[in-house]
Amino acid sequence: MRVAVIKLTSCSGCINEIVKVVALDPKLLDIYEFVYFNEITDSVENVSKYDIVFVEGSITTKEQEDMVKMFRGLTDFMVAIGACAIHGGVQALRVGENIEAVKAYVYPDPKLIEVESDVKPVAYATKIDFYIPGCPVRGDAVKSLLEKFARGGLPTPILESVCGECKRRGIQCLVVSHGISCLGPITISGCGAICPSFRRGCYGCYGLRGFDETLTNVGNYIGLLGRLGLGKEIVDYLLRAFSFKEFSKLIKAFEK
Amino acid sequence: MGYNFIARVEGEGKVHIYIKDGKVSQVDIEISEAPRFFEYIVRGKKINYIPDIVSRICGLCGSSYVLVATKAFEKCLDIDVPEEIDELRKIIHLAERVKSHALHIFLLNLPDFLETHNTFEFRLANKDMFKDIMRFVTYSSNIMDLLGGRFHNVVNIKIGGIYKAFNEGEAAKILKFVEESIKLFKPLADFVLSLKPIPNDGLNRPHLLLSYENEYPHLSDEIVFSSLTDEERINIKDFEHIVHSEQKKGKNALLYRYKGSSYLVGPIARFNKAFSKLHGEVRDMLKSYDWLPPLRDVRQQIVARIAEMYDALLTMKEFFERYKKPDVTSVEKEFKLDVNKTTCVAAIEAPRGILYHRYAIDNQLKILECNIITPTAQNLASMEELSLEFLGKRFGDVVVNEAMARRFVEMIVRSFDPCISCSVHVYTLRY
Repeated sequence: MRVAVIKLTSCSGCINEIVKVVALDPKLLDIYEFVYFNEITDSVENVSKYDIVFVEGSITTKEQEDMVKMFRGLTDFMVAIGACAIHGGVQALRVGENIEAVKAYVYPDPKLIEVESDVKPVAYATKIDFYIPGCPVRGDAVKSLLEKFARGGLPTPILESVCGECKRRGIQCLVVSHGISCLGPITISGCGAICPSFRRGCYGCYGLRGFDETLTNVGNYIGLLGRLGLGKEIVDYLLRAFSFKEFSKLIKAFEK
Repeated sequence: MGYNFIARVEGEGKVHIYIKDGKVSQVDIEISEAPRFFEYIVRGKKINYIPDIVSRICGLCGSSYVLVATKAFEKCLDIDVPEEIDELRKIIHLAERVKSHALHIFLLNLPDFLETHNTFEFRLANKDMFKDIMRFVTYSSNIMDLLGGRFHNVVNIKIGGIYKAFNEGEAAKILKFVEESIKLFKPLADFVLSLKPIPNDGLNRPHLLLSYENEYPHLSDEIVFSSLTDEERINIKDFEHIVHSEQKKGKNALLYRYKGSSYLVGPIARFNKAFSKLHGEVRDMLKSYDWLPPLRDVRQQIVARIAEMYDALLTMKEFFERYKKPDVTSVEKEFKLDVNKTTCVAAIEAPRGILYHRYAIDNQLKILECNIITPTAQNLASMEELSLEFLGKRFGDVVVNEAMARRFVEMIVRSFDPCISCSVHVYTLRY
């Protein structure tokens, strides 16, 4: 089967997880041919049809939006990988600011920089068939998708919070037992509770567990975190950084 | 299809080659990677989570970002991290150096020397070796998981220390992975070091690296500028004043020059200047293949990377052999700033070279200003100039076509292991 991996605005962290998976599991290479994958293959061939297209990164230029749409036309199965593709990514922290001012802050000649004022998750431009959350995604999750897809199936989407992983790993609750601020209860699981296993509160890099969260829930929890010493301002920053799309949805619903 | 990206590099760049009468007149590396404005988005925010945010600049060298930002804040807040904790953080950083170099050498760079067009062809032609490479990358991944929580964007470093120190049992496990890595590494290193010929078209660019008096370059407040005739020491506080930056059309990254000349940062600079600081075993291994400093061509950087990987693995081995779980993992005090405003500066030898961070913070510990200078941006001017120079040397009066020139230039660009996502960070100097 033919696979394409394309990159938009991002750090390549998720792509490197794919590289890792591909390097570590040669059985996958017997099934899949990574025909369009700039990071490891020389781009000699012209684009054509693909069984899977992985998209890393968010859309910040017109060219990227065109590229995603073009690749959408070449596949029946498009997978958004990572916080940037799903939510916008940390670069979305500039959304709402005057783009000319942002450009002028960073570049001596802002006119030479072409970038849009919005930072869009890929789903804003086109249909996405499957999401793998994470900043970065876990190679295991990519591997699981590739293995199941080869047999005509898909992994079960994750619907629980990081708390589920702590329970399974037998990690004592940081909030309840140690009074440490942790975004775990409102963050989608999939990481394996990395931060709690280092006795550190989750900072939400897998994104808000958006499907059944309400602003009241999240708001109440933020209130609790405040009492544990993690101020609203920083929580707001972290949620915007790693869950821009979901968080903005909640805020918008609240404003209505 | 118009997306003519440079293959086998991290991030998005394109090469434009201008040919007139069969002669290349100009090489232009377009940095098409979209900017993410990190310097802007950290402003007004408290320092606590800034290392984790800026680690997202790079999906390969996130530990370098976390550590250099952390160091910058610790220095200006007078936080004295216990030595054994600092040592442990250095080990995380070295593990990242091994990981980053391994991915570059074995998956991206090696096909260039073997006339295979990509990693997959390389795998089919070298099945047994590829198995060893896979096992090596697996160990590297396991080590990163144990030290920092994941392959990149490690979570174990914080301002004042680390979150968790492993116990002796975990350390023994890591030691075993390191020892297995070394066993696998040696034949792979033998293979790379015996590759001949690796092009040698001369090297006339000054080197910039962090000081190397006490150890192979890692973290320091002093930068060494070194040319054939001249060696100069620069305090990192002056770095932005002395490097000259320039923005060009089609590049979302700045070009840096020092005293009017493009320069080199990264493995080749470190290897050429700090060879004597490598472990004896590493030097012996290199000598047995006649690889001695100075390396005279950027395409020989693969040799420097091999040396650095072996050296880092040996340092890690020694560390875990004598590891004792430290009593404290971090400085637990309230961080305070007594003045209204201060500047926090630090530099680290990331896998690709000097990574410099400067933050101005106020007494609320919020960021007022930020500037980040990445290794790839510093190497960019050299990439373009050396491509043109070497094309001239290699082809002379031979008429070149675009495909020939492109393949040649891409190999030069790739030898720098450019991290294009990182490079898209610039800042206008305002004083």
